[in-house]
Amino acid sequence: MKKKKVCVLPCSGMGKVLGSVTREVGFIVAEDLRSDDAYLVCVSSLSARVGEYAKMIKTYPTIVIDGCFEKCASKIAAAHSVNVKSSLFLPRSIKKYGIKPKKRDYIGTKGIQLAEKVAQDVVKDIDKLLGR
Amino acid sequence: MNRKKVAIAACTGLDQPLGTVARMAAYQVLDVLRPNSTVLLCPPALIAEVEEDVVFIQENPVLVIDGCSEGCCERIVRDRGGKIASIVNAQEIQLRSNNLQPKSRRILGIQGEKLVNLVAKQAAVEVNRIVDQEEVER
Repeated sequence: MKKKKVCVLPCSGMGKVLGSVTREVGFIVAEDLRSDDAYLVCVSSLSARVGEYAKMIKTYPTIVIDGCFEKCASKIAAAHSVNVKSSLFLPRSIKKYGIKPKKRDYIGTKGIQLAEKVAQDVVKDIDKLLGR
Repeated sequence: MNRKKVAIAACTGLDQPLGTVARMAAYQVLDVLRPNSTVLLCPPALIAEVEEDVVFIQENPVLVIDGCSEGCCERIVRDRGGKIASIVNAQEIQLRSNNLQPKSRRILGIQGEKLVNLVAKQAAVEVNRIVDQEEVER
């Protein structure tokens, strides 16, 4: 039987530091914390119709990570009729954890700290979705 | 009359280190090399039809910095009617530069940083060329 997985879709936006943090969250989850359970979905490849992403997000439950108030990742997921099971919103995470990164090119220690916290939240959602 | 700026659209790819290279090169062009003649386009915002980014590609020539041969960023801009004035491809520059290898998609390492600098320099040259061309056409 095919193993159940969860797709993680960060906005990966460029204009603000928060987009860079969502990217780091995705890498932490997909490489360090849940490499066997999570597929990291690339918004650009999905929209450019490259790779298997369109199929993956229709097959597996998806967690969306939005960096800013535009909520682009959520909008893109909706446009692809994605089965979004959970969404995280970085401005809310900043309030929750009291960590505010500054630079969009190098997110620095604070950016990494915030990404690690948010990644833990994503992992909780993954475990819930996988029935653990 | 206001001079047009060059909209920099970079790959936001997550699959390969070259996506990170393209991203960092774009920031270098925007923040260090050509801050007065460029604006940053956010591809996810363009895909999500955020007005500011849609207007950027309608009103400005676009310089695409793609990571690899898939050319996702080029496709995204082209699909939305952007006027692409030039394309810089990190993978092509990598192949011309002793195959500099970024360490990973999270940490570029020395070779990755060198590749970022080369891509950014090439992009800055293209910005100059596009600006000059726009002046001639005005």
